[in-house]
Amino acid sequence: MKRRTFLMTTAAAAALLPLAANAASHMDEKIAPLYEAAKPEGEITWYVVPMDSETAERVGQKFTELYPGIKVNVVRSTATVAFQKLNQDIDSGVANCDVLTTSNVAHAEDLKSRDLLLKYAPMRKGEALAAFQGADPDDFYHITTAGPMGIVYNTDLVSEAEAPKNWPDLLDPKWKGKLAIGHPGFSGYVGIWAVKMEELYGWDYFDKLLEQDPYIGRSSIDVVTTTAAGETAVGAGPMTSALISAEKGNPMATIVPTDGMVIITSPSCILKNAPHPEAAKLFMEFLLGKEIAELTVDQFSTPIRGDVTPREGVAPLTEDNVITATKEQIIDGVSVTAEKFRDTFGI
Amino acid sequence: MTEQATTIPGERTRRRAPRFDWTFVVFALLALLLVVLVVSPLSRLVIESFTHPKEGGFTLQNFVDVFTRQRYLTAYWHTLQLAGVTVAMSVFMALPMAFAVSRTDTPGRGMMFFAVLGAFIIPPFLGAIGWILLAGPNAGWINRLWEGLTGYEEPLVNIFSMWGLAFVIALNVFPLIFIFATSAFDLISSEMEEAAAIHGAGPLRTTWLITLPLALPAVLGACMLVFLETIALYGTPALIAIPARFNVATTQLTTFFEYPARIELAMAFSVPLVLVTIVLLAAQRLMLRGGTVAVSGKGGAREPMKIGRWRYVLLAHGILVMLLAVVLPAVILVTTSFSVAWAKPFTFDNMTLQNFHEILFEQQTVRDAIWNTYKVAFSGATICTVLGFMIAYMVIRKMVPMASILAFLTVSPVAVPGIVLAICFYAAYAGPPLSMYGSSLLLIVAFVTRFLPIAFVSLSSGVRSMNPELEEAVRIHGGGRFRALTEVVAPVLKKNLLGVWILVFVICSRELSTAIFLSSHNNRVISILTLDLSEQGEYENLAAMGVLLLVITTAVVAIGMRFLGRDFMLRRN
Repeated sequence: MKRRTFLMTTAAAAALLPLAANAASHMDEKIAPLYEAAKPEGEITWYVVPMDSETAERVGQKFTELYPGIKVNVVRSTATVAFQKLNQDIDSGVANCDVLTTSNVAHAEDLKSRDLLLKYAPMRKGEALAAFQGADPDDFYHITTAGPMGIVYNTDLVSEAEAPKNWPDLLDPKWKGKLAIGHPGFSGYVGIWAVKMEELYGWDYFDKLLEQDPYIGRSSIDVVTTTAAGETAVGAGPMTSALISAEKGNPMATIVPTDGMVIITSPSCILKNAPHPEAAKLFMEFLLGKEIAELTVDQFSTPIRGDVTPREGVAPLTEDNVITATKEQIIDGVSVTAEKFRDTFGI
Repeated sequence: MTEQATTIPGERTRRRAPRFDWTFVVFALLALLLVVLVVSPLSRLVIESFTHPKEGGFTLQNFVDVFTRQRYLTAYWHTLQLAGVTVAMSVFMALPMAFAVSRTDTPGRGMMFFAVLGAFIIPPFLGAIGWILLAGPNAGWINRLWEGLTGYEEPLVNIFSMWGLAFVIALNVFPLIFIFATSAFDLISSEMEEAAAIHGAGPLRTTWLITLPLALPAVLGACMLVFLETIALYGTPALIAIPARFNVATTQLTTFFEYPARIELAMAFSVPLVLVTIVLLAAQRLMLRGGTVAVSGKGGAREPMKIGRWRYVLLAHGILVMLLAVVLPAVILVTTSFSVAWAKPFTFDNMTLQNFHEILFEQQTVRDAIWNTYKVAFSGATICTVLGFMIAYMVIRKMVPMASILAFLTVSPVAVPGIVLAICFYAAYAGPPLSMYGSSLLLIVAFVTRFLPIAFVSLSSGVRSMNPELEEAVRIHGGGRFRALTEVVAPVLKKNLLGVWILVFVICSRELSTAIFLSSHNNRVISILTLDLSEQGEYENLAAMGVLLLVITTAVVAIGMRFLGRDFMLRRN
């Protein structure tokens, strides 16, 4: 893995000129004029939530590789922190962010209602799978990633047989002090997961969870790293990160809960006051395109396009293994649930 | 001063022409600068906390909102508990060491000194990460060792608890108590201890009856500083208190910034913290003033006490503190930074340079943050030193009327915890008309305000120790004030200036609380980036960043020690 990355980087650097020419000639005909318009802007700032910072940096590098001359400033954080920083930008009249990709659609909807988003209908918006199209009928934001929350466990500490099979299994007393969850007040993934858990099992689920004395990370990704380290044995975490961790050699495996993985679909949007609007539009096309899908699929993501196949180990999404939240549930539910969570868990 | 100069015969006639008196211009400029740096941001605290967020106008509603929410009150209570426990733990760590170094013939005193210096250099958030790796309840190295040795599954130590949090903070702040205690012990004359010894008291009894009571006011004063440091700390609680589900005032403060940001509540919530700080600082001053008759001046002879076998107890204690505060966290950070996975044994298979490759060559964000950190630290230290020196000189030499106002303004930020100062700066300068949010300048300005008191107090004592005759000689020969300042005073005090510069540089390079609300992606410093990346729990890359930060900081300190002698960092006034 390490060596490959290194070799790839060197190769890319050595082949920079021909590659650039290549990229230009192979570039989607439709996209070329947009690239020409975007090129003078030279950079773009991307506030991104639903991937770890390493993957996000690689995505940024991929964009620059495809569209030379446009640098990507990657700012990765949890959904709440990203939204807080964005609002601090807005309140102080500073335009930093061009494109926001967040795991909490309520944030995109809120920006839209405050007239802070740029309406843009990407040329590629029809290329995504039907289920991921048309999140916003007015074209202010578009679903660009989808990720499942499932059960993750440490294979050194837990055998497949004894691993939890569904969400209520996490409440088994044998996991007391060995269970990790994220914080819905920070993470968008955990926020949506918590809304669905409350809907399915009532708030009682969290009262019982409290008795388990869980480790509470801020990001849902922390659940994976903490469980991989053996600090906890099981957890509710993003399956993509868990598979990446397993590939790195960590004792990590995932379970598709029998009551369903919680699917989090993350929208991307362009800010109305984006300092690099053309590059932002190009980036939006890129986020919906095949190249990024191939790159992130290699990192065990669930593709939103039909023309890339997920890697082995990535659970396919079917009707009976997923739990999805409606947009209304997310908009109305996440912040209320986060506040209740704070009261229950005291933090 | 000017009058005194005119009484010198012949001086007036020798002047070619009456000069324009620049001192008032300088005074006006400095006063204006202090308004920008101190008055304007701090006044926001009062204004915003009493202002209705939507309609404007006076209201007490913000305070009602703050004091009627159970969770907010719990956060205060937790903070008080935490600070109390931290003070007790730091006294236990620092006091025996200070006593050993200052009063006794305990071996290894030089080593203890380095333990304290090391603890001071390691930034709090790095110490916290080190201790998460060491004392995580299940995967921490200490607990696994414990389980391996005894077979017990219950963890020996759990960092994710109030005790763990207090312990990690204490390891970072105990140098404060050490510094105050040693300087008090150093001034106690041996005669009193000898008197006790002559009357038949053993070393233990002498210490208990004579030495400790004499040093008590200084130690209590230092305890209050530790208390204040603890209630204002954000980095360590963010890393440890959230998993431990122990909400403290600073973690609560950050939630007010979640959208929709409620600055007015943040301000109202901060007011009690500032009031506590003012009360404790006042108490500290009173304590250091009275009751120390026997600790006056360096008159008496001082002999190290011969304490027999107690030497080894103190030595063991010193070694233990050094292990806990410096060696263990540093070793675990270094090994983690070279590890593929931190929880696996540090074997050949598990070793890699990838983490350093990642932060140095792959992640643009990290490079930007490193560059930014040292840009801010360099500018902050330079501005602090120059400004602190100028103000100290004007105040000590009473060059302007109302110099004491300058002094008061300069030191007043001491009463405001760093995180609250950040909120004040956010309210004053982040938004229009200046819209400085996200700029390095905003960070520099905030850091200067926060650390100017240190530079000022330290350089004041330097200026005070200089005889004004030197400057008068310049003036008699026709040189101006400015010339006296740059060509005489500054060169004489160059060690003090450099010492202050390095001290401020080091604390700027690791400051987190003040930066927290002022950072966007453009001006992120290492401390902020560490906190952001720690959300994902990827400790291998974080450790590599920490090691890099430590190497650079240690190099700067080592250079300083080479030029200034080894105790420059720990000298306080």
